[in-house]
Amino acid sequence: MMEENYLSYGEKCLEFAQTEDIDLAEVYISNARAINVEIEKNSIKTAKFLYDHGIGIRCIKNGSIGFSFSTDFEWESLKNMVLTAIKLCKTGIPDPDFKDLPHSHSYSPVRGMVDKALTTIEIDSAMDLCLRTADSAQIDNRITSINVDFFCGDSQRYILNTNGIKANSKGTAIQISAEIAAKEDIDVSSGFEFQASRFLKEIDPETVGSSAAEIALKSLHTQSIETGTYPVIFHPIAVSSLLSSSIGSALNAEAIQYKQSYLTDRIDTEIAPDQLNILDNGLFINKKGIAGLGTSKFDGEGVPHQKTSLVSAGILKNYLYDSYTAGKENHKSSGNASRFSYRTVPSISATNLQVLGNSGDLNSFISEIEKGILVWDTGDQPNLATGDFSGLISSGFKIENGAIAYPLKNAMMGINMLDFFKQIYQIGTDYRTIFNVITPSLWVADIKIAGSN
Amino acid sequence: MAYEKPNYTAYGEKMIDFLEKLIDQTLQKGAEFIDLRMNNSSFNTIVIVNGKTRDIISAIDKGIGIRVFINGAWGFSCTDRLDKDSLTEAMDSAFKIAKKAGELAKINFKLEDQTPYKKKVSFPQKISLLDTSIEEKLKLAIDLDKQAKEFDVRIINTNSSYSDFVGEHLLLNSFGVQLEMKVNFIRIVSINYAFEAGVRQRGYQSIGGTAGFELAETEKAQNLGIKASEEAIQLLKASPAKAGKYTIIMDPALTGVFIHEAFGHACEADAVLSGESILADKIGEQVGLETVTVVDDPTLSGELGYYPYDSEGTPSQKKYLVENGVLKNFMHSLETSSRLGTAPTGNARAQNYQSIPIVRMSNTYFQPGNWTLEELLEEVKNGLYLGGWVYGYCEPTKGSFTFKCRQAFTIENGERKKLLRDVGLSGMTLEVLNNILGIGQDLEFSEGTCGKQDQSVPVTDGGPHIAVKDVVVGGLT
Repeated sequence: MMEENYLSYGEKCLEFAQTEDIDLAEVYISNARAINVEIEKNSIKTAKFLYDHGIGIRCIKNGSIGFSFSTDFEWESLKNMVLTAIKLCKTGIPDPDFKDLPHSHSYSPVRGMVDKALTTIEIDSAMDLCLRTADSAQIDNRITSINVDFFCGDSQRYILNTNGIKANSKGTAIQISAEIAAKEDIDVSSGFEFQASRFLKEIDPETVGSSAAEIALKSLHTQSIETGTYPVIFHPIAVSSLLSSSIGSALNAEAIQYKQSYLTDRIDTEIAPDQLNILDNGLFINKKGIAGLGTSKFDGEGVPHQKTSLVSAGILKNYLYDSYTAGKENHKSSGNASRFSYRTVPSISATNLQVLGNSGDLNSFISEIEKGILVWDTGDQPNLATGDFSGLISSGFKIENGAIAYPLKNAMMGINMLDFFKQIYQIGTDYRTIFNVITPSLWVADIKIAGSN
Repeated sequence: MAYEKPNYTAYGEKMIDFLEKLIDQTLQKGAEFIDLRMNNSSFNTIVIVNGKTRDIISAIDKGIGIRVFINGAWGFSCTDRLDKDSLTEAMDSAFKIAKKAGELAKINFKLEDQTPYKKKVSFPQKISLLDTSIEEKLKLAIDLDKQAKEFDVRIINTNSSYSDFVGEHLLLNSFGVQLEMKVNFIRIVSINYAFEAGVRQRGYQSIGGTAGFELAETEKAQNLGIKASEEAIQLLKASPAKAGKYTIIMDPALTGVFIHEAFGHACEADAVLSGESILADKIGEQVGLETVTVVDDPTLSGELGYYPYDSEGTPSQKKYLVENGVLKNFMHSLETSSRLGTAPTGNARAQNYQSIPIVRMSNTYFQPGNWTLEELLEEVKNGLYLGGWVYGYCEPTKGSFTFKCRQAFTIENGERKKLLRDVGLSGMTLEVLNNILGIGQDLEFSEGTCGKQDQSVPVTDGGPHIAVKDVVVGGLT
């Protein structure tokens, strides 16, 4: 369907909604095309071609919001959708905390969102990229299994509301990941690596394959360690999973207002040494002029994206707002309403989390440590109500005399995130982009590690 | 009016005839196997936060997913446009990519033929979810939220949600299967937060099943808010655990999630074939003590993981994954059973028409033994009692697991004593199955959703209390 058609369907739904007794209405439309290829044990297994378009509507009466959606653009279906949302908003409980939907804005253009190569990519080239990734992982006869997952897509989205918002944007994305298993004697291990970007040229399938294989090999022959307190180096992958939850989710203004977050009532207080600076940057563009995966002109309600300082010189500065939570405390929305799909209502999330570093990198940190731990990844997250983190080090290594000694068997770490931030000792400059987190390696002075010895 | 009750009709004969013809035409072009899954679903979600409607959602979702198999590879295409042109285009596209993938595939195999049949089946339902008004569903959620808030002044935030799903699923395949299945389930969840003297805690309770609105009228459903608030309040007094190695008792909810996450996933034959299961070459071998028996049973009507036929049309069946400590069966789809030379087990499930069926669990449980809880506590003497779970994480390749518990107690001199919070446990799955000291005689199920390869399906896990030695427990001190 053409762009003008989607906009006119949206307008028609809003017009129809306004003939009923409601206060406000908003329409969100997305149209996406995606290719997904899976390689299992080095052989092409599944290739998928996915088309998904649909329209979602929020109708509001006395602050009560009703939502419905449709994948069918026939007028009868659209009319039913609008009437359902109207009925729901009149059934719900009035909410005086709801102030308004966003009003019309002008948006500055954002570069680096669309890669033409990805809007025209064919399934053959996608399969080729997958096979190159798999072939590069075959670096050693201890590698027993190579699985590759590839995804790319392009999408358009449209937001219209009865306050005059009428916005649309486009974007492309590509992601490739490799999961490798290795075996030696009776010992088994796994390694995982991935790359994601808005542009095809930023993806290097050979690196994804070979480094996943290297991690799997390095992770063979794990050893238990003594329970104790160690200096801990976090690889950017581990930093990204920790910060996505402990900062990205914990600063969600809804969680704060409902007092569900351990960071409630901590604005303008010192939470970390002054070298820590973290931004939520919805306009992030990398040095090559390519937009981040969380970058866009506007958020899921049509509010312009912005750059928000979350932690500045160790001081907690801002929460992440959508229009509802902002209205509740007479604040301005920070442009953090996100929409995963036309099937869902907006929810608050970080755009791109950017950690600013100082000096050093993973290797220089390791070289300075006599006895410590390197956390490559932790598939775990803190309890956001308390900030307590007690989680498995899913991929980690013991550091001895300035070098990686051996992979860890079954070790867990335990620390409250407020102590974690205070214990930050050094922040590197070896930036890596992990989906929507841009971060270097991190050195944390003291963390309790529970080993199995 | 139309918007009060979704427009919900069975598929016409004409549509089925058209799709059958499409299948025949594509077989003639060289497809080895084809299946079509068409869904027409309606669902409601109501979320009440602090007494107000945060979300109230109602929608109809329809579309079709088409799979074509050639020479060991699959092509898949899906569309929400159900006119003849769009359906033909989706079939062509699935065929083309299957052909290309089949040319490149290095692992080639055939799918074993299945017996053709024509069936219409329905999930159990006493009070129709479609006939129950949105007002009544809303009232239930509001009442839960109110009782949760009124339970104690220290409850600072309440979240009560109601959701239901009613769908008509049509499956056609080139083996001659024609299945129309009416699916329905309902789920109610209460999550409340308590705060006192700088300590914030969360309580969680839920109920769900393949049932109609009658489930919402049970006593458990009616008291969900109180129970969740009670848990949050109790946890305010809990202290952090001391990290180390312990003898533990897992409660039925934790035993259930352990057996699902840490063991069940390794019994999924797709993980076996992709080299991601520690159990790959262990069929017929002793993997745990003789007292250990593990079952996956989708035929348990009313449980959230119930289904009479899987998403490929294979009739569901009860299976012993482990019997008396010996690994007996893996769970299969048409593909994995064909590749491993066995029969499909009815474990292929797809989240919806936009996803392909993959091997999944249903209602998975650890079979009870003969110990009472008192006897288990006496056996452990000094250790930890771990209850419930917040989330779990496993690495099937390594056979390791980690879980975060909802609450825990110290066991001192054979008695449950001090309440603990934020306790995590981790270990190697097969070590646990060999370190069991005793298996309780009780059996409880808890429902949830299981995520795998970006697909989420409803499941139930269950088990008794079990006592295990030498488990690493992480705490904060």
